[in-house]
Amino acid sequence: MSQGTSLRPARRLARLTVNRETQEVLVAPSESLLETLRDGLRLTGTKRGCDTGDCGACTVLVDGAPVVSCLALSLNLEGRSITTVEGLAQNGRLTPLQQAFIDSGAVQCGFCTPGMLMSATALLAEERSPSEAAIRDAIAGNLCRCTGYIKIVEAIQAAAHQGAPNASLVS
Amino acid sequence: MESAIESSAQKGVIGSRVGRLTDGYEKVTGVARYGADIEHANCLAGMVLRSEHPHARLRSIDTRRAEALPGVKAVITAADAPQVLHGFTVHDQTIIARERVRYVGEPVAAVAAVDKATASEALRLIRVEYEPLPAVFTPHDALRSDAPLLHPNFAAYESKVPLNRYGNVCCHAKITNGEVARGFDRSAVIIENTFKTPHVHFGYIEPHAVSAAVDGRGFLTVWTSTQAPFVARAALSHTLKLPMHQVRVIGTAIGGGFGGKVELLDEPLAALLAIKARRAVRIEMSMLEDFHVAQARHASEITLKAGISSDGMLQAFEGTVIMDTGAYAGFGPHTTSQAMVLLGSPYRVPHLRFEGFAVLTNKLNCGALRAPGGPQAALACESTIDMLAEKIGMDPFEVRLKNAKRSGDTTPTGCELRAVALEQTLRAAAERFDWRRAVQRPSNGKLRGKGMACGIWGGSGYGAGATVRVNEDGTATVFTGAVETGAGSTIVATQIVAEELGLGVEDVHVVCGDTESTPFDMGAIGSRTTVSTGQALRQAAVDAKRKILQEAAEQLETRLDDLELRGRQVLVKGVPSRAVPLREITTTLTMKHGGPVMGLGACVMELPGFDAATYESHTLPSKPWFTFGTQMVEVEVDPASGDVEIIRFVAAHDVGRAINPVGIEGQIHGAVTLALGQAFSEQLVFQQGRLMNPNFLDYRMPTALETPHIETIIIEAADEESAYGVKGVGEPPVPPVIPAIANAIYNATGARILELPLSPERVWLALQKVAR
Amino acid sequence: MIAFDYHAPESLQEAVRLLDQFAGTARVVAGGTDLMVTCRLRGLGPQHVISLRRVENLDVVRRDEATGRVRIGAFATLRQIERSPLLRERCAGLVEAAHKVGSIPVRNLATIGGNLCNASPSAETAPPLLAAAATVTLTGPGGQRAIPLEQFFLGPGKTALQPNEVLTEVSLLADGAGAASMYERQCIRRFKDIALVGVGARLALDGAGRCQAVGLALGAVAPTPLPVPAAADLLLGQQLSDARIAEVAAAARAAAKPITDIRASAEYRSAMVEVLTIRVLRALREALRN
Repeated sequence: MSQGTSLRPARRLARLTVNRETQEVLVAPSESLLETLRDGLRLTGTKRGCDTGDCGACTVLVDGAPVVSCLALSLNLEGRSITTVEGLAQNGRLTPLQQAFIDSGAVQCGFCTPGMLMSATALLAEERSPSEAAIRDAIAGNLCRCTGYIKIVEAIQAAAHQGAPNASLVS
Repeated sequence: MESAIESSAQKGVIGSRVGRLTDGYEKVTGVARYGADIEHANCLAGMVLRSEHPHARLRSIDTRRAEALPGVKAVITAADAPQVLHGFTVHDQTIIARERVRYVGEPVAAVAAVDKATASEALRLIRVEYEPLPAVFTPHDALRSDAPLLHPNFAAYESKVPLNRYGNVCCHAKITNGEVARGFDRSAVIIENTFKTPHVHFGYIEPHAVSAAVDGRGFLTVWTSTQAPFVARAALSHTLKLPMHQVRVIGTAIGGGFGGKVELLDEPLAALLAIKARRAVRIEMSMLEDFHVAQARHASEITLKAGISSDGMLQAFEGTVIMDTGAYAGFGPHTTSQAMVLLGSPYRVPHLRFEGFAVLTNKLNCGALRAPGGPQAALACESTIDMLAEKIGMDPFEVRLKNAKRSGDTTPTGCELRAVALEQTLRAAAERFDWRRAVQRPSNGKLRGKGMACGIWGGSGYGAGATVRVNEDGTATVFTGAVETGAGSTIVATQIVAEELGLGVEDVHVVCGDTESTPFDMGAIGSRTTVSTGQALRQAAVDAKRKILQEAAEQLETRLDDLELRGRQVLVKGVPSRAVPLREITTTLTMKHGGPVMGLGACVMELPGFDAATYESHTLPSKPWFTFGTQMVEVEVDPASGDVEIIRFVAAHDVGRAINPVGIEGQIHGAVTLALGQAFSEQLVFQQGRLMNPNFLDYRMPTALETPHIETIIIEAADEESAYGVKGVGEPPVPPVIPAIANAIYNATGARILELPLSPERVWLALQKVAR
Repeated sequence: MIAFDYHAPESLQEAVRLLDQFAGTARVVAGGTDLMVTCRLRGLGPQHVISLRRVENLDVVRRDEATGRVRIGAFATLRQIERSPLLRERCAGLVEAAHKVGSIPVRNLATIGGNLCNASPSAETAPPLLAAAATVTLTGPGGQRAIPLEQFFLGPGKTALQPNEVLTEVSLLADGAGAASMYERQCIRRFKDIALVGVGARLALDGAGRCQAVGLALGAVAPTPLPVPAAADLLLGQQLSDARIAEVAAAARAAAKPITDIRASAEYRSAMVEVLTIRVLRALREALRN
């Protein structure tokens, strides 16, 4: 592999659907979805933690599936539907999962919370009443240093018990 | 899972279970602004060039090509910084390397450019000529008489505390109680072991991020995800030689701190770039950079010799504590001093002698990671207790109970202990865990065992101010310099103020962590916020309440003593019909005086007396409060692979008074999990001063799959010196975790492991030795 | 910072033509996970990235009725693999290995082809594939060629792929009818981690419970994922007795050539080859009994 080129290939317009809104965004060819969301669209709810796919803080949904946005190339996602934490609550109304995170004390510093919510939202969209093991597996890619995960698992269980749909993932 | 609360304290707002009332909404919607999220017009991207050498002389730095690159707006080196030394205890470091670099990652130059790509390119164009110098990477090498010195004359630096310093030793501390020789003479069993722990990373998920801007007069504003805005302001004022009224620090939301976001890192560099470029500058560290330059938990080597009589009474401890503190003293003198105190504090040991060395090496600086010195000391102390117990054929629970400190006892430096509940935590944990029950032997070839450990932790004091403004409509706005790290300080603040003013928690809003609009507070360090800031908040609320009741007494023509505030009303005791809505009084007061109803509070927790004859060159002879806890764990070990699984974990901790049990459980869960990471898998691996695992792939923190259920027991042994009797809880659950696990592994397998982490390979190796 | 150009051709032929044109300065990207990590941590990257996202049917998973083998498009994600009903039924070892890579948000991007092309000695999917006699299809300017997977790996990060070729398909033996496969590994962190040692095995028994076909391969104990046929062959025609399994495990250990690095010592890795081989073979015996 060669040392990265110092030539900067031109940015180009990419058509991305983010939180149900389709827009044209100027994107550098080597740009990650995380960079496009944070720097390009100023959607800073998605967090940059490790930038190597190991912490999960940048997790977003692509066509409903959780993906680490730091390792996804933006141009590879043209035409796909992306949901970030900003797209969960609609008209100021929190999803049952978001509300459960607040009520259970599943949030501490909150930096892992957006990614954690996206992983859990995808899980609850598929399984109405997941086992604790399934919950822990679903959030295993989201590191949290504050909570020991206990109240996070409880919040996901609480949201599952409410049975209400947690979000429309795909526009 | 709700905790058992072992007290009958009356319940109002204080003591009720409150979720993430204050910060939850913003955090679950992505609205909360962390260090990297702050918006500025025309903001430049700052980046830092960092040393590639563990020890080298800086021959020259040529920044001309970088400056010439289009889009570059400022380049700084040491030449652009005031010649000022700073440091936590000893002023031994500069904000950017001057003449010499002492660890891989030390800042050498910084640039600000129109975007990150340009800034990155500019860094590549800076030419630094290094002259490598001989380096030392371990305390043992650093302590040799012919060792190269990191600082040619360390003893000449200014120090806030008198320290015994020489060579590469930045603090040589001593503690002596009684005569250890006599203690050992009385001992039936004497053992001596050396325990080793590696460097550990803080593990917050948000890398350091800061932005800075200057106005037309050169007044500086810095937005940083700091645990302590006022500490940052003082340090910026000192290092940049700016008066404090020209420096404003705004604490952003923090993506985890754990002690790693207290001291300055890139803040002064962002400030210098902003001053030079006359534009806002943001520096976001990558996690790779953060691993290299953010401080770590001190690596340690503790040798402990201990004696016990045949009836189970501890007789003597003699020990040496060596802390590898990295290139600068940093928190090293404190961590060393603290570990020495903690070694001799949970139990009554009539004779003890400890020596401690904080040693400089060419590695990253070490700081105050959640309970600094705690896990290191507890591993040595609590493993030793179990080993002694076994030798004299006594249950380790009994040995701990027999020797446990009680109220009125002192620490090894003569600091008196109040409201000691060690025995209560021991008994509560044993009852819940059913300690006497024999551990099941599984049929799958695995080995099960149980272990316990106790812990003591002394919290910090320092100053805290608070202001409560009661608005015209009777709601309250609270101003505190203490930032919300996620530990829940703003929720506790809401509860305290609501309790005192007879409001609901939804009636109180907390403004925090801005040096310009909130009162001084030392910050979220040393488990102090609920204790110290809580005291100030209570005072402020009581002060506001006094003004309200005085006005009400006039209006109602009653005695002040007959009035109380409850349910958003001023009540006349015994005469419900004469109740007046609070808003009427506060509206009148505001209109009458033309200003808000303000209450002021301030607190410095008093340091208990101590015995100066017991120690030398020690930075922490006294702490304002201490607390104790006991943890019990059952593990299952796979002897074939060395894998250890936690079957059960019980943690009993004395919090004095549980203001918000939800928050306390969260603190215990988090502290235990952080320590589980250090127990099993976390370590920074250095080779020749270079960090080999600066990422979350090879730096392994616990995930949701490895983390056990943690059963919490909250004990409330009120401390009469603090508001509501509270003690802190952020750090205290950390120290006992690792020794409890080491003791359980021994109980399961017969393998006594003295070095961390207790990785599968290390456990497996220890089992091979046992088998032989 | 690494800057590369991006191309998303409409066809495989066009992709191969671009690879040919860029002569070694281009890299095919699927999920991009390894590429992005290398850019971030090591500051290394290609000048051109070629994405096949516009090309259809490169991620198809199907059973070849003629041969009974399972064929997986190289661009199938690891998440797709772990959830495929066909693979869960027919390729349990591969499914287990795919499940152990990274986390769900990583596996939704990472592909089986990427995992193989990265050619890490510890690549999780490699041991079960090698144990199931996998072949890989490489598509270049001259058309397609299929080679056994063991000939694909040349060293850490090195494969038999020519600069103008694309890995397009993986094919392997299926479980069922007396055959089963399994993958086990040892890590530092118990669950989410990379393998210190991985062991993949596939066994087919005849009606009398004797081993008819045996595949055994190891991960992270040699410069490439390592098939250990000499150890596997000890089982041919044999019953799966504890003693025989122990013999095979010892032979696997002898064949492993682990190194000591920051993750583990060679000594521990060797010992774990034996432990995991025993565990995997016993579990397969159990699975085939039912």
